[in-house]
Formats: sequence, structure tokens, C-alpha cells
Amino acid sequence: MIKRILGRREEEDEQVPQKKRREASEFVQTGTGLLVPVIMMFGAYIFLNGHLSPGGGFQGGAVVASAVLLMFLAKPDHYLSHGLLNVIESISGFGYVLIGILGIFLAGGFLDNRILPLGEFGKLLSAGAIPVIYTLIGLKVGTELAGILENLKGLNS
Amino acid sequence: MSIVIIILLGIAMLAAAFAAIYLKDLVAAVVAAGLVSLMASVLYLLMAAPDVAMTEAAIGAGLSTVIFLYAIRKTAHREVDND
Repeated sequence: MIKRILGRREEEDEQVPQKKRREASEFVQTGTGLLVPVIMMFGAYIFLNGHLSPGGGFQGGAVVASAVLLMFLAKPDHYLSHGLLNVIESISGFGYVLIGILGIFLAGGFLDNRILPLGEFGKLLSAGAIPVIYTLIGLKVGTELAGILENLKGLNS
Repeated sequence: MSIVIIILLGIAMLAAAFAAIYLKDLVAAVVAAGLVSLMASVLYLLMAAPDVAMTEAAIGAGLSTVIFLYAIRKTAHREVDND
């Protein structure tokens, strides 16, 4: 599951050179190259472990978006593919509603997590549908905040 | 011990908030507002709310500060007195 998310993340980073701007310093660029993968992985960790430790979908998504922000600071003339961001965000929102409605038919009510086996308390794959819901929310929040940053950066004065 | 740290952080947070209101340079004011968020997140952590602390650190201190800075770069740098 981690591999799937990170794979999507890497697809998202396809970069096309835009209008030339002032480059960041060597320190910022090197540090960014070192830190961005780690920060993104930490964000994925936060939303995948949302049912076991503090944090959840929103917090993990915000951490992923802050990694995107660091990337923008280091390389101002690169941009993310807006269409792909919108597609991931829409699919995540659709999946969230779909799981909620599945809860009505297969279990007690809207967003009931008992549609998947509950498992053992404390294991990564437990708590029914909650890890899936958190993953979808994390992807949605991360892409949405990255889209906001991309929009604000993109309009050059 | 913990209560002393909490009170000191609260006073520092108040000082940063007043700085954010009264500074004329908008960039400095935005940085002061980010400082308020940073200290708020440490306070949340000390008061046993790590969930909220995580959100406050990522959104308040990180993203919203930079969004304000992007907005300031596209507009004027100083507050205008209209009298």
C-alpha cells in the first residue's frame, strides 16, 4: 500500500520548465533533495497509522503538502501537473463517499467501519475500513493543498 | 515545572500576537503570526493534544504563513495609512 501511494506521488512530480526565475541557493536545493522524500514518507506514515497513533488523514495530507511546499521553495520554475492533482483528488472524494454508502448496506450505517474484518487491536491492518478512509482523506487533502500552493505560485506577476 | 513552561510560552505567544498586529512591515507581521502558531502547537503538545498540535504545526506555522507570503509578494509590501 505504501508503495502504491509513493508511486502515485512520484508520478505527480512530473516537472516541465516554465518561465525562468531566480534559483534557490545550493544549500536549499541539496537539503530539499534529501528531505522531500523523507517528509512525504512521514506524511504517508501518519495517515496509514491514523487508527493506531495520533494523527490521521488530514494531518498526514498537510505534511505531504508541506513537502510539496519545500519543493516549490527550492525549484521555483517547476510546476506540478494540475490535471493529475484534480484526478487524484476527485477519485479520493468519490471513494470516500462510496465507502460511506457501502457502510449503509453492509453494516450499521453511513461510514460504519465494520464492512472489512476488524482484526486485532494494535495491528496495522485492523479497525475495518478506517485505514482505507484515512488513506483516501490523506490523498485528498495532500493534493488539494498542493493545488492551492500551485495556483498561488503559478500566476506570475 | 511544566506549568512554568506553559505560562512562559503563553506570554511569548501573546507578545508575538501583539507584534503581528502593530508591525508596519507586512512580511515581519506574517512571520510573527507564524510564530504565534508555532508556540500554540507546542502548547497543544504540552497539554496532551498531539493530534491538534500536528495540524497546527503543519497548517498554521507552515502552509498558511507561506500562502500569506505569496499573497504579499503579489501586492504592496507596506501597510498604507489612509487619513
